[in-house]
Amino acid sequence: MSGPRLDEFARPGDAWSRAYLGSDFCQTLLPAPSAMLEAFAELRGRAAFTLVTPPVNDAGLHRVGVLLDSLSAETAPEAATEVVVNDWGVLGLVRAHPSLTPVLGRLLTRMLRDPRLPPERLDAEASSTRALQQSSVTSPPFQGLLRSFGVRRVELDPVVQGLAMDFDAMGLAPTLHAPFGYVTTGRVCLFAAMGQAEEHRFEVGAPCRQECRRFAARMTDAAPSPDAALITAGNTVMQRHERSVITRVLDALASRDARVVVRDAPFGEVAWATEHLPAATRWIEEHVS
Amino acid sequence: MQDAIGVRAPQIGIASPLSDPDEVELLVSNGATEFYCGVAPSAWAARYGASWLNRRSRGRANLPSMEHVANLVEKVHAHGLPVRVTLNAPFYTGEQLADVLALAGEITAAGADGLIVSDVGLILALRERGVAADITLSSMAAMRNSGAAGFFRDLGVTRMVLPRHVRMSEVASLRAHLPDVALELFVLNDGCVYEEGHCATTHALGTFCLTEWRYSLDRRDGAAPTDDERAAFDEAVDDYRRWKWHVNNCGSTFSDRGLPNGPCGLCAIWDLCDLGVSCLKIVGRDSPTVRKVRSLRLVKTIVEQVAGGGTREAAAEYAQGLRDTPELCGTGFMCYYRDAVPTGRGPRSPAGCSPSGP
Repeated sequence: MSGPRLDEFARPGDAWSRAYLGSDFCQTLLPAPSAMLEAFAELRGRAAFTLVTPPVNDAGLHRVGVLLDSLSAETAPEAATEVVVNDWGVLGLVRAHPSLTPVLGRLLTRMLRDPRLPPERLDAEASSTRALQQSSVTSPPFQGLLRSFGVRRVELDPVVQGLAMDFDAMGLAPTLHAPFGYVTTGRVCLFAAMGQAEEHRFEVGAPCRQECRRFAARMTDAAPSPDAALITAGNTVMQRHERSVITRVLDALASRDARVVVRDAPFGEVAWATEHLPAATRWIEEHVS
Repeated sequence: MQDAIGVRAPQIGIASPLSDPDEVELLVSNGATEFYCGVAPSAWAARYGASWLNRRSRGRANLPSMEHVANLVEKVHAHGLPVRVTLNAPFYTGEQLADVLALAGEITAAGADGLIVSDVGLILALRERGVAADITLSSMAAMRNSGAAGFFRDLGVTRMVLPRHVRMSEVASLRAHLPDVALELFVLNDGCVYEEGHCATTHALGTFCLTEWRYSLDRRDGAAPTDDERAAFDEAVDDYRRWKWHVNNCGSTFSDRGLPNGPCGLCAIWDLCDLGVSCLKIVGRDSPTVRKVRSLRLVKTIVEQVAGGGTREAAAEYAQGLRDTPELCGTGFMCYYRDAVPTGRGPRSPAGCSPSGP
């Protein structure tokens, strides 16, 4: 397979001015350069483009390098083309392409995203609660590093415990993904096993037929909970968040540069983004219960 | 090639977990060449609750105070060996950073030989504040390419523990690109279902990945899965549960020979020596002393076998023979480095390796 196509998820409206293409989580899903450039060309003059990249090994780093070379060759600086990085090695590659803007991905914007955290038991004033509601980016040395790499935007998920970070004060712009947040991810994939010989199942880096592009699975605990809303999508566990959680987090962002990215499925490799928050709020009201 | 192995093997270190000063003598006499430990001061727990100071803050994994750390360092140094201390939470917030830095200063003052760190902010802060600590990159950093290795080297990291989920070919690639970076690799015990450095759950609420989930298959195109698709998925889920049981130390069992079952890289030691890896890591700060001792004996025996010469096939065969658990080794599910196992695996044998355990 060569990669995702933009028509997998139709643009929600004119306010959605940027398309995201790619996976945060799996190197196998890196698009072919031709598929990426096809999407980029289709968007030209209509919407900005963000390439999403996953953690990679050296072979994957080479593939990302090829994608970045192709993308930067087609990109004018005013196009504001972005690359979401979830790997420090990839961030180094992006720096070599001044026409591309790096964005800190969700795997590097570390914070607890555990669906089991009980928000009703958290004391809003306690240090223990703030630690749960903040991420690695609140550390001043970390912020300095981001500045040195030209990173100004960081990506976040909705979290049941809520957020307590002042992005304007940190000089960072937040992006919130909705309604699906990641919980955990890895290199071993349940779906890949569907197409693998027995001796290669759950082997890191074994050949994969990308069954995750055909299937996903809802997860429920052996002790059933009414609506765990957890989904195994490829190598990653995602949580579909309720509207109240997303709204609460969005309100807490309180940043003039906040952005919302939406996708219609947890496994979606195409997403749309807006910085027009009323449009985002409207989409959430219409699509999230 | 084999002469080179014979020379290199004795140089490879064996890092043992340590959670009690009274374990030092026993672990040294059984082959430990260096140690790592953690500390969990009560003040941190009181202030930050579920945001643990390091990856394993439950039970006996950590020393309770800095006094215990100082005592432990003294005992290890009496044997002329080094000990590193973990400050490897996946991240620290800006508010936590001052507390971690103060603790890092105390650990260094107590004479510890280095810190094991994952958080980029802490690495930078340690350098900025001039804390004179040798920094080992924790596996929690999930570093697996030469670009990232160069990034951390430039931050002043002197050794890197690679993640659990890595192929031997990836280790070789890292060594080829960055021969000056010292690497430490997992060799025994305690797997992770996901990539621990990318796992956003906390063990403070229980181990998320070991939950016995029920799965309901959906097709992305919205159509109902076919019977064949459901059957293939159900088979994959059954195998996945078996694999998770192996990852979880085969239900924390020992073999009939009294050796610890679970994630294992013994067959790969020949390759790891050949690649010039600096150190083999045994996992399990919270393990009972007997598990640590038996793990050390296993690893030391294989290192000595490799040092004595012989082919990689012979070394792997020796390792599997020593284990004498063909029903476990045969699945490949215990292997840290499945691509490094040179001998053919036997038939799968679910008996004795089911999720409920033997």
